[in-house]
Amino acid sequence: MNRNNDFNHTLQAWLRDEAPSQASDRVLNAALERVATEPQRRGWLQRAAGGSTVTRLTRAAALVAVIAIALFVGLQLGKLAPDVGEPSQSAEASASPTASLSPSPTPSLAPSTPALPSLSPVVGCLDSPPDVKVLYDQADRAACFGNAPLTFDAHLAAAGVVDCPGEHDPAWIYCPADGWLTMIGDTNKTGAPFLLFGVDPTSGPEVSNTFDGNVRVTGHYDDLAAQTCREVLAIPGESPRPAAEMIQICRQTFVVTQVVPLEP
Amino acid sequence: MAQRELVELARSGDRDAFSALAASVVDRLYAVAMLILRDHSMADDATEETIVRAWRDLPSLRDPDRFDAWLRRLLVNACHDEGRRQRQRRPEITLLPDHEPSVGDASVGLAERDALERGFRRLTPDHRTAMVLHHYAGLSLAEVAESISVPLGTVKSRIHHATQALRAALEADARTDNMTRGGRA
Repeated sequence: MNRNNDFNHTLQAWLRDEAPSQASDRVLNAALERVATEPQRRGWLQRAAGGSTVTRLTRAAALVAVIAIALFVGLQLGKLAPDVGEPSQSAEASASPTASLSPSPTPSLAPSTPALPSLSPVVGCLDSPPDVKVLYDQADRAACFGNAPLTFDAHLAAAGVVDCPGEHDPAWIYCPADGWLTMIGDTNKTGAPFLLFGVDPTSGPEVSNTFDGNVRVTGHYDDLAAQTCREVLAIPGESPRPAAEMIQICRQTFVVTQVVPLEP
Repeated sequence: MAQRELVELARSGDRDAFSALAASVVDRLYAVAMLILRDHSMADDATEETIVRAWRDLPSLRDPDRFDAWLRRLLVNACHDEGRRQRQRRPEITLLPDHEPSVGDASVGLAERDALERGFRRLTPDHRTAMVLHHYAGLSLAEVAESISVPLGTVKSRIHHATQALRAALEADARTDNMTRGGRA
């Protein structure tokens, strides 16, 4: 036991001596410079709940106004309907508003796959039409790109340990750990952004044989599997996440559907 | 202003509060990153990345009181990512010692330090991380497990193996030293 204690004391003293007492100013300055232009990641629930009291009150007032107008218009339509003589028409018109909504304007991207009804309007894009080169910078990628297939060249590597406390289903889309992509060109840049991605274990491609190589990758956000995302076991000490928030998180996962190795 | 308040303000998008928060933790982050990565440049990058990720993902932190543990997880991940990046960039990476090892007639203390330095560098990043969090940051084994998202048993095993390896390094060094002294005598 003494031998253990002696060794631990020696080690701890050595670690204390070895640890630098101060980071260089450059580190903090560089980080804060990036923070100044970096948006925070917020789910739509957080965005709706966030802001100052005044902002929230304004938002609530606007919501009340919209509901009041909608009610008023609804009542007016209700009054008009008997005069037209076909009351079922207005009901049909209001029942099918957005089922075929294309989730995003993506003219510069590959053709859209059959569209899923989007949970939120196209609000996540920093630019229009959204540019795949700034994929990483879009605050709400699912809203911005929808589930349109995106193809780009990137360096592909193993994801290693990905930190996802709690238990989730499907885990592969909540906690994407199948690999990470760095767009070619950014690969050698310090601090280059990288993208963790998920692969559907039942239908996705095998990616591990292309680790540490450059690939042409195709994938999409807002995968159908996101709609079933749920928290099986909450993070210890935290309250369970609402179902809508889980779905929104999973919609932000980039799901790889095709990987083609590029010539070295 | 208390850390909790700063966290709450920063979480709601206050960049000034976040700057103050980052300034209060950057030295601690850098010290841990440096011990894990054993390279100034890599530690710089991992620390910077941790701060940026903290800002970006802060809205996802539900309990401000868990900020330190949450930040530690980000740092450990950033160190892993940085290590991976460097391995890709420099396939045959050679970690140069920060100071020249002491030689010849150095005191026992210095010899021990050199042995620890060499032994520590030979540990895998996973083993170094566990050792630094436990022996430097003072976390319990359960807290280490939470920080690096592995089972408690894995942490115990990593600490055990790393300790054995370091002990072996120290003992080997002591044997070499004795032989050298014996040879001289």
